[in-house]
Amino acid sequence: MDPIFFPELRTFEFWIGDWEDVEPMVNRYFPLIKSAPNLSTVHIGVTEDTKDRDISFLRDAYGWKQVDSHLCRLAEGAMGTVTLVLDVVLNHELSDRKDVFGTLTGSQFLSEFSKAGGLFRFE
Amino acid sequence: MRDLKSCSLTSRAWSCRSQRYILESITIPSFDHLLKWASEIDPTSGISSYVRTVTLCDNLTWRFSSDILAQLEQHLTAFDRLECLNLEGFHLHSGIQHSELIPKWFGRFRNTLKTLSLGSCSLSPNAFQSVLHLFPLLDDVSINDDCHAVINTEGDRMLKRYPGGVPRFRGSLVTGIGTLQEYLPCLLMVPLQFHRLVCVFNEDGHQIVSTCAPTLQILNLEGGPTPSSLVSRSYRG
Repeated sequence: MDPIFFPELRTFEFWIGDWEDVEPMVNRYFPLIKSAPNLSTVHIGVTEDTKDRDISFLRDAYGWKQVDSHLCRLAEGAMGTVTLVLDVVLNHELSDRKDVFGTLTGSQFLSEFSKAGGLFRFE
Repeated sequence: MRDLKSCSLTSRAWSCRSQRYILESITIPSFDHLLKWASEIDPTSGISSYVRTVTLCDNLTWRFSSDILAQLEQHLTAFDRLECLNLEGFHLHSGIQHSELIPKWFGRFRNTLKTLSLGSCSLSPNAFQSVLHLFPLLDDVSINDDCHAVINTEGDRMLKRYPGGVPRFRGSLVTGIGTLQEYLPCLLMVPLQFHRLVCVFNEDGHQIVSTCAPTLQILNLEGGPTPSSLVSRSYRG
C-alpha cells in the first residue's frame, strides 16, 4: 500500500485487541505515525482481549522500535508537547498495568522520550 | 406566607426545568406511533424549542408519504433548535417511493442540526450527498454497523449538481466495522474534508483514510477483520 501523508493530524488513536490485531498494527498503523509530522498525541488502548504475549510481541516488533525513535524525534522537534497515552483495561490475562506499561515503553525509550520533552499519560 | 411564596417560586422554576429536561429528547418509536401522536403541546408556547434531539425509528418502513409529512409538519415544525437527528430504519435512496429526505421538511433544520446518526438505514451515494448538502452545519455523522449502501438506479449513483457546488463536509465521521466496505462507494464519491475519522483500518479503511488524510486532525482506528495473508502463523501459538 502507498504511504499516506497526514499534514494536519494531531491525534492518533488505536487499540490493541487480541493477537490477530497485533501484526497488522505493526504493518499498517505504525507507518501512519511516521507520516504525521504534526502529531501531538498518540493514544493506545489496550483492550480486555489483549494478552501478555500480545504486548511482548508488539514490543519486540521491528516496527515498534521505529515508532520509538520516531516518537522521540517528534518530541524533540515539536512546537508543543508530544504525549503518549496508554489506556489499559485489565483482565485476567493482564493483571498488572505496570507490567504492560513497562513492557510497551521500555526504560530506554522512556528516558529518551522524556529527555526529548515527551510526556506519558497512563489511564 | 413567605414560605408559601418561595415554595411557589421554586415550583415554577422546577416546572420549567423539568419541561426542558423531559422535552430535550423525543423518540418516535414507529410510523404507527407518529400517526397516532396527539400532542397536547401548543407549538406557539415556546416549549417545543426545548427539543434538541429527535429520534425517528421504524423497521425499514419509513416513507415520507403525505400522511406522514402532514404529521411531521403538525408536531415537529416548531422544533426550531433541533441539533441532533437520529434516523433508524430509513430508506434513503431512489428505489422506494417517498424514501428520500425531503428538503422542504428537513431543510428547516439546516441552521441548527449538528449531529446526524443513521442506524439500520439504506443509503445511496446521492442521498448521502443530499444529506451533507441539506445540513451544512453538520459536525458529526455516524453510520452504524447495521446500515447498508444501496445503488439501485443510476439516480442513486449520479451525484446531483447543486448551485455553488457541494459543500465540502468538514465534520467528523464514525463508521462501523461492517459498514465501511459497503459505504466506500458512497463516501469516495462525495468531496470529504473530515477533521475526525473513526473507522476500521482494513483495505477499505485504507482508501477512506487516504482520501481524508489531507484534512484529518484526529484519526481513530479500530480493529477489524484481518486479511489472512497478514496473520503470522508462527505467532498463532
